[in-house]
Amino acid sequence: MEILRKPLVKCLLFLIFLYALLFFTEQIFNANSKKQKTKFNWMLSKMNNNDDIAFLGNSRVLNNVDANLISSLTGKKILNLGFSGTEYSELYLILSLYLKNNNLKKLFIEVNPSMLIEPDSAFSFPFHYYHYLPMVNTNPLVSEVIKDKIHNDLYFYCWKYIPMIKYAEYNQIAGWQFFFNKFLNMEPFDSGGFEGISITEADKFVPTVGNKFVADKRTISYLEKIIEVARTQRTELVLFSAPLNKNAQFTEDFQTKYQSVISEVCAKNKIRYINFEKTYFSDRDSCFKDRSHLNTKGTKLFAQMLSDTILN
Amino acid sequence: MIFNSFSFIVFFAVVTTLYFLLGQKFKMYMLLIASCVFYMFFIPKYILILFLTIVIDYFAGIYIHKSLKHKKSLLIISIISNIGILFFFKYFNFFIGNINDMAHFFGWNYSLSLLQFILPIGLSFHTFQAMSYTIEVYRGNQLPEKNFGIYALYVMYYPQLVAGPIERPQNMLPQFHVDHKFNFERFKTGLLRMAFGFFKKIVIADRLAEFVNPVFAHPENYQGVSLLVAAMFFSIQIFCDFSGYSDIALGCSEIMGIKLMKNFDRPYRALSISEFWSRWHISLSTWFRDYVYIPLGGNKVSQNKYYRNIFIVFLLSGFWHGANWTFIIWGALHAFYLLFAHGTISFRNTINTKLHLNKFSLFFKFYQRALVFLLVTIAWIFFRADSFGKAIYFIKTISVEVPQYVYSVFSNSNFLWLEPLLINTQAVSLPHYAVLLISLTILFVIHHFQQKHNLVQIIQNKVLPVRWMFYSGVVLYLLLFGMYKSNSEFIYFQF
Repeated sequence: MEILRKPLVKCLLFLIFLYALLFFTEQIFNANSKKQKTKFNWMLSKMNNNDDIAFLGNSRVLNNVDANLISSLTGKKILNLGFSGTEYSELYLILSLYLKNNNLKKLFIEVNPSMLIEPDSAFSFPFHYYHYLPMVNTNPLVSEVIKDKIHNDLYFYCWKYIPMIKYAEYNQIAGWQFFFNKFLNMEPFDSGGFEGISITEADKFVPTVGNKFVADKRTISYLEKIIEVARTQRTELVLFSAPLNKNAQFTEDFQTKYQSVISEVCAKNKIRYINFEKTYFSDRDSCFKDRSHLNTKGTKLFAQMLSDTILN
Repeated sequence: MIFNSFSFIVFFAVVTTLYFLLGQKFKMYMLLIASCVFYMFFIPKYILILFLTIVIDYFAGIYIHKSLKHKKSLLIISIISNIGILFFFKYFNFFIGNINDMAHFFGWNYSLSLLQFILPIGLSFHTFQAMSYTIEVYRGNQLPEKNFGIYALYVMYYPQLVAGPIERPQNMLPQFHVDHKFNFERFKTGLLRMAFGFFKKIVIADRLAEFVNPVFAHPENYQGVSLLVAAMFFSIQIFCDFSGYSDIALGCSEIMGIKLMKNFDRPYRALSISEFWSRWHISLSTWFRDYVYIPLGGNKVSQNKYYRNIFIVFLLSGFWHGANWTFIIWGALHAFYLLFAHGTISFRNTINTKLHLNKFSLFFKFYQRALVFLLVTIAWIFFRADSFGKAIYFIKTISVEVPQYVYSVFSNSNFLWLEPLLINTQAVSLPHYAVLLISLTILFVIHHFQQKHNLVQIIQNKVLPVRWMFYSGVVLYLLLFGMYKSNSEFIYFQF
């Protein structure tokens, strides 16, 4: 052990020095992360807003719900809280962070088959950890949800307490590129949160059939947490499903199981459910970008349908 | 477990600490258990295959040494069992597939069914290492290892278990019998070597993969120039990937006081193909030299036999890499390069003399290096392509479109010609190119510097603040520019 003492002291001193350096670097990254012109930061920058209605969901809200158009049709203040590829655990964080500083009268939560199954099998990137990096050490709720998502406690604590580890993992998305963004001319996000996504799939209208529906309990528990958060803020709730193209098909068994999960959640929490999945323009490919995302024409038609629902 | 993973960092820290805390008697067994855990991270049940070969070769070694009459038979049994396992897992489906193709060609509607399993990781590496043990015992260069645990560790030693270097018993076994105490200088050198390996793998190789993979998956979507750039990028990628692995292996072994053989020596600085092979995957090249080429007669035979020997060695080398015709063609191309160089040496010397070319000038060396790099890159196209057809498409498109491209560069006044050089600009952002260029420059400078200086020694001779700034800079660079999310495996793991 004697032989190890001197090197150990040296290593320890170096590690303290390294820790300080990384800690300082992480502070710069945290500050820069908050300055990025993303929808997430745009949502966080909202303070003391009194919105009439917000729509919460993944790309089927982000791309399908034209907040400004619905606002002009209804005369109400509408907000689009849609984020591409998000699952309910992330939406729970998004809503909680938003409601911390803002008020909301009514919340429409989107449900679709991929939102209720195991997220890793539904989305290629189900949780956007990189959005929350500056908040992991300062916001207990963010820390709690991320710990639950990561599953590996040792890994999570390394992530949380060793500076720059989390930024290293996401450095292709949320790292040194921060410093280049100003040169890339990124425009500030606007339009009430609505944003048309680009579809690059070659087989966008090839019929697909959902055969097996297995509801994910953890995901449903997060849906219920969303409901709980909204309830504590006295926000009225509605579940809804955005239109699907005719090529997105499901077996009868799939539909029965999927609808029974929605009915259960609605009955348990006494919430209304509005299903737009099979709508009058579902069979028109001219209204869709792919099987589950509307194009400009479809968005306009859907905005009209939502406005009618809101006004009635 | 892969080196570029969180699990490995934890594993390495725990194993290295235990290694220095335990006494000599126990540390080797701890290393053996650790190596088993390391291997079982992939497919746990495959450890039984490894165990089987270890048992066979352990007893083969002992009996080869003892026996006077049956030495050769025992060696053959050992080699057949090793090759048999390798053949079954790696080449069986290849042969069946070819038989089926031939049957189909002759119009026979009968096909043999293929086996469904995943190739055990690093099988070719540890099989060759095990074979070198029994061969060396047979030749009398190595006494058989009596301690089963130590022999098992020789085959399973985790730093080089899945992708080499393919070690020799004379180098490894004696080191396992020595009690290696902690040495701070060795610790620092080992960590720096590991850091250099990580730099090559996660900063350069994994970043290059982002450019290379889409092009090799769909070459039809790209122009000839982009294909050429992608092929050149792959040449650098595979070097950084494999030599990066070797550096990490050498580094973590060096910390424990066990010296592994050097596997790479800046191969793209080679001035000829034969020099390239003395610098690339040295442990495999020397394995084939010692156990195939020299027993066949090497170059001390007639010209025709020499040519045959070269072809056999390189075809085997190609086949060792994988059960696919593309690998065999890769090997054959290298054999052709070598033999062509050998056959034209006097002609080339005459030309050089007539043109008054100075062989030692920088320009001539640059020309030689560029030519070697180009030839090696052409061979890598076969190595990397999914099929022979795709490789041919690559070469055909490059040879047709690149001359047109060069013409367009000189005939156009705008900078549109730059676009195909940047390959897939939508998938990979411009800052990635900047990081790649900076990292490649760093690699080039380090390689250039290493020719005459011991970089590690220079750093260690600096004053403490400079050393600490350097070490922290290395850590920060790896954290900022490493590609962690991809968690990609090493290319040579598949062999």
